[in-house]
Amino acid sequence: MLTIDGKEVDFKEGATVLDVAKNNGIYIPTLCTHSGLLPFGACRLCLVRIENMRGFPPACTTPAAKGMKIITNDLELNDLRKNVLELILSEHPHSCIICDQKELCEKYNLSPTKAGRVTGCTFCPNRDHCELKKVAEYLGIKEIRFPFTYKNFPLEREDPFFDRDYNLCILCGRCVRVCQETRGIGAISFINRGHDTKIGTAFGKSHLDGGCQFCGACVDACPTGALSARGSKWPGVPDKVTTTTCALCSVGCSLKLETKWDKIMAVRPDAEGPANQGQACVRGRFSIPALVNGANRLKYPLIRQNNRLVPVTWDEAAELAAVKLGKYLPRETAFLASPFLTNEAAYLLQKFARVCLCTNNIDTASFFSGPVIESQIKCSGMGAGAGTIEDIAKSGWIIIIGDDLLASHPVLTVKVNQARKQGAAVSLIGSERDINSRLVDICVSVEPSGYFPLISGILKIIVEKGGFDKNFVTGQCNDFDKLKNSLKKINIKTIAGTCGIAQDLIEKLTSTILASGRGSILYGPKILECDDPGQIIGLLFNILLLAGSPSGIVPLRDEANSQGVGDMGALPNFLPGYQHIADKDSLAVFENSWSAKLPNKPGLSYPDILDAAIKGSIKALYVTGGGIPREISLKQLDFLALHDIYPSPLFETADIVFPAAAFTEEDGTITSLERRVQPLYAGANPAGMSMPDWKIICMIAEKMNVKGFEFSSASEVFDEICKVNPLISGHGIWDLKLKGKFTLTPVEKTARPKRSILYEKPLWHYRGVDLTEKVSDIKILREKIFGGQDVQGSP
Amino acid sequence: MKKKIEQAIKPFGKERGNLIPILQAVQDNNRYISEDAISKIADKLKISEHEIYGVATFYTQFRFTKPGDHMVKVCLGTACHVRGGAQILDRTEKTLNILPGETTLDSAFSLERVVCIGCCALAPVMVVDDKIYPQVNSSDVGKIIAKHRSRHKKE
Repeated sequence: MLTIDGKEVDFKEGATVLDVAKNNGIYIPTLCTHSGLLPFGACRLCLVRIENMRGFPPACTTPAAKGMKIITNDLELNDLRKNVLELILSEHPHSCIICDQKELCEKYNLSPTKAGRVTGCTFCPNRDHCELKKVAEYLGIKEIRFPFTYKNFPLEREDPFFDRDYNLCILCGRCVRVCQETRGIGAISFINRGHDTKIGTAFGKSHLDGGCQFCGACVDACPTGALSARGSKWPGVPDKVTTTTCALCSVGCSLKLETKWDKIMAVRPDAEGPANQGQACVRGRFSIPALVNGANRLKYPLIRQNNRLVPVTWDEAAELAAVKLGKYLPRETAFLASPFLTNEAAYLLQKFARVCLCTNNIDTASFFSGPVIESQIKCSGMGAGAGTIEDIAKSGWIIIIGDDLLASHPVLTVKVNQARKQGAAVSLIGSERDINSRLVDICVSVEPSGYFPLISGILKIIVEKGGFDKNFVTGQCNDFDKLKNSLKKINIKTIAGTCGIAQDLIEKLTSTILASGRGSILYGPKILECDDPGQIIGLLFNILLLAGSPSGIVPLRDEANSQGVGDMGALPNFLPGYQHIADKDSLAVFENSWSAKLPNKPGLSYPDILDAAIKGSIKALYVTGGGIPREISLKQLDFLALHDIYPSPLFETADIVFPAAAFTEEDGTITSLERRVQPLYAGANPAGMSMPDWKIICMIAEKMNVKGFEFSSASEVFDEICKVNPLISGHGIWDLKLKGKFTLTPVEKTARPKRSILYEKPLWHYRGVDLTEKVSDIKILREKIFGGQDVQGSP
Repeated sequence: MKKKIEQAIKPFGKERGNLIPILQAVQDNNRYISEDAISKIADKLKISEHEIYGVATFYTQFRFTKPGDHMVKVCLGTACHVRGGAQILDRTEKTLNILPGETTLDSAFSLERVVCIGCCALAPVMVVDDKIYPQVNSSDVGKIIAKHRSRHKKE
């Protein structure tokens, strides 16, 4: 209990005076506090009066205590704050803040004038978000009584994505702290001291050279216009702001799309996003406008006439697709579901394939899907990981294997960093970049071929030392004896030799698991380069089961919705909800609800579909965006239909091209890597005449006179999904409930037919569109980080 | 030089609190703090180089450019100032052809302006390396520098 402005209020242990005021609806002006950052006490605007305390303590750094009597505002405090802000403003161009014509000017001068150097008035890119202005208005500042000093720093515009004008900087330190505390990168710092203090880098390096990841967290934290996103700083106040989910990777960040003139102009992370909590990465923050607004977006349906693709109406295109697809036998047709499709589109696509064309030749066009899902189902009965993003932050140990987390899922590094600050030991298995080595505690540099022996060694040490929950393992896990026997042959010394690492490194890594039961394993696409990726996942599950509850295992999927597309049954052997196609009962349920006879033999998997298409045994192929490796030629095909957002190399062979809406232009849902089902909302209308994928499928089904595809909105499709798919109903996130039965995987070399071709795909892409091609700044960044090497192999 | 840096860093633990002692040890061993040294410290303490540079620039004791082989300090403390320290500094600048904080092209001398070295009775004072020259007048400066230059060549 304490008294604040005469009101008696309760407070939580550890809250600051500022927190207490905020929770009770009392405003105290402040410029340096920011959600998620530790109190800093830089701006001195939150000074308050507390009875029996000397002077005026800052509210943000003073812990609330029992019986405190706090006054947050009186004339003297206001004068004091005014003085402080006037001092701040004496080094910040402020004509825009104190001008008496301000209101009229803002009303009629809607868009900021483009100017290189901000000197006040309408020149500031941050005009509509200026926090200084808000505080000055609250304090009633009409003039600045101190002479103005312009610091005359050069503008910093050499780096990609955002500009820096430190003449506007008030040294609140939010950018430095968000980069160090939240992101764990520390690409900027306070340089020099006293009057010469400036935000900068070591030896004045560029951000590109200094290890900046361009996540934009500093730009979002800045209360002034010192940092501004280059592509999107001039359009002014947006016409509308739409909260949606990012579909550029599978983390599921919530983003705010700012639309003007029906175009996405800027994107900011959503502070309330359950996965990202106000954070984003270079892709979500900076690349979306350029990606979806490209001048050569597909605008009309195209069909092949006289060996040329010509634009036609939707009616003609759908009619032609219906006629052509109807001509082939079920075994001659195949569908590839892009892992970027919405749940609705994926559900309808597999329904279309199974109901209209009677084929199970449908798979998710992701190499990280098939073998991964099968192994996941074998281990835990579910085609998913276990554990949530929030669990990562609470882990005592974390193992990242086979992925460059900082490049592929930057927002997850925020959680890893949080755990690490609370004492978690973070280990990285795989190739390392310099910058990674400072973010982790143990770096084990091994090639994918070394994953199998390394994990076997870890399991051997855990089992030998008995550091596991015996009741759980013997009671709820099958095959523990098999695993134990298979570990007998293993020798840690030999393993260290094969992997080319020190023996004590394996022991050190294992001891982090044994020291604290609760942990997280994050595995990425590099495990596909192992001889048997499914088995590696099985072995990782072993570690998890031995470590006990409530540890998590998270697949680091590249593609936004490869989880959801699988859940929806866009797989050759599973119906929605991972109900096996050969299981008569579940097949009957679907036959009943779809009122159609369904094929009951598993279809071809993604790699098999590609092989069959090359050989010619598949004659008609329906591709929904990406998934065809560049080196593959589909000339053998009779018929190829595409959903695409940009022209692609496949246009040479395509017979019909349907222009699809981008994820910023459609409603729907996608499922993140933690199995959180999240909504997409359209921020703008689809480009030209393009349409959401689910609508295109419905249209063709209608032309084929098949019932069950009469939907007028994505939410109607979602309702049907909820009826038939037990997984999605309730929107719950599945976590590893240690109630069921699990199966341990024995450590045995398994023979797997090795695929001869190593397909390459761009590391950052959306529906097969390489981000480096569409966003020039991404290209600069990628070349810097990866030295031009821009692809990732998949077997 | 790399060895020198590693030697200086080696005895310390990995705690963040060791940063300033490490910086001091590196400067003692290597006479200044190089980019290379900062990235080595960053690897050891797992702090970013920018954060380290930020800490180091807060203190005037740290140098980031390679100093000359001999450090020339001219005192402009109160006593030296009163007795003509400014003229001594002026003459030194002209003799060496550099400003305070700079190093001569042959990296033989660096010049620093200091504020009292604690022997005001000897004012005006000039210090080259560890040798103190008391009651210097303008005409002495050339001789002092020449003496050290010839010694530098012999070395």
